[in-house]
Amino acid sequence: MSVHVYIHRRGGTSVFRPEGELDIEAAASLRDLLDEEIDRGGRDIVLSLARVTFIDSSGLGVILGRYRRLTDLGGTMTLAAVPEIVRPVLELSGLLTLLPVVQVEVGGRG
Amino acid sequence: MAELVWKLELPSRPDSVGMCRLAVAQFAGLLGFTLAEIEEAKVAVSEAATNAVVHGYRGTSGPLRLTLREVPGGMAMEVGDEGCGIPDVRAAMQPSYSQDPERMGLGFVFMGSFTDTLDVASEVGRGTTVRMLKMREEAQKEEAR
Repeated sequence: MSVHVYIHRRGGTSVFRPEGELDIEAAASLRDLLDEEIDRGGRDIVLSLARVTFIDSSGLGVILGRYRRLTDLGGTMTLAAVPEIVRPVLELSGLLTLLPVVQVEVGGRG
Repeated sequence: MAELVWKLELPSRPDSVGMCRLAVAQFAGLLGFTLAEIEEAKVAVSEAATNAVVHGYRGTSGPLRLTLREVPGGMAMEVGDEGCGIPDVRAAMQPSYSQDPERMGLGFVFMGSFTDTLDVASEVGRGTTVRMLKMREEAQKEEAR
């Protein structure tokens, strides 16, 4: 079962909005989708967590891995719309201090 | 009345991990844990179950066993597998970026942070059992009065 991801592109920015639980099952398909985008030349990605209801280290690992890949290529990954329910996990992982974070998923600059 | 016990046996597949979370969320809700505490319990169980699927059974398969047990003031959560076991538990519990880049090596860190006690029993070739205790903060406050 793969996770449903809403993708919206405007200009050079892509907004990815996965829905549901980002665990080991969802992580693989999200990783593939993000990797495809980067393979196609995507360098400005906004990952909106607005519809994410759960995240564990598998989901975090995908985010961190894609963030590193993008930044190595000179691109940016921004986290947007972090729901309160997943905030403790994100904070504990340090991801919120590593990635740029915006409140609302507008464009790529917030 | 006897204390509540739930036992769930699932195949060691990624899609079983979600069912473990569902079970612990429901169980914790029945016991009066807060929403924030339920989220923590879900993460802890998700990490333990994912370990069993990814590491314990690496390429093979077997049972994934979740046992939830009501204890005074909280619950005991146990995730067991009959997989390959962990040769050095202490080393495995250290955060290790390099070994597990896709999960940040944070599985045990989250389990430890989100529960009150964490115990890992493992035997190479036999399997691993992770036992966690989570106490309701409300129950702990009541005791302190």
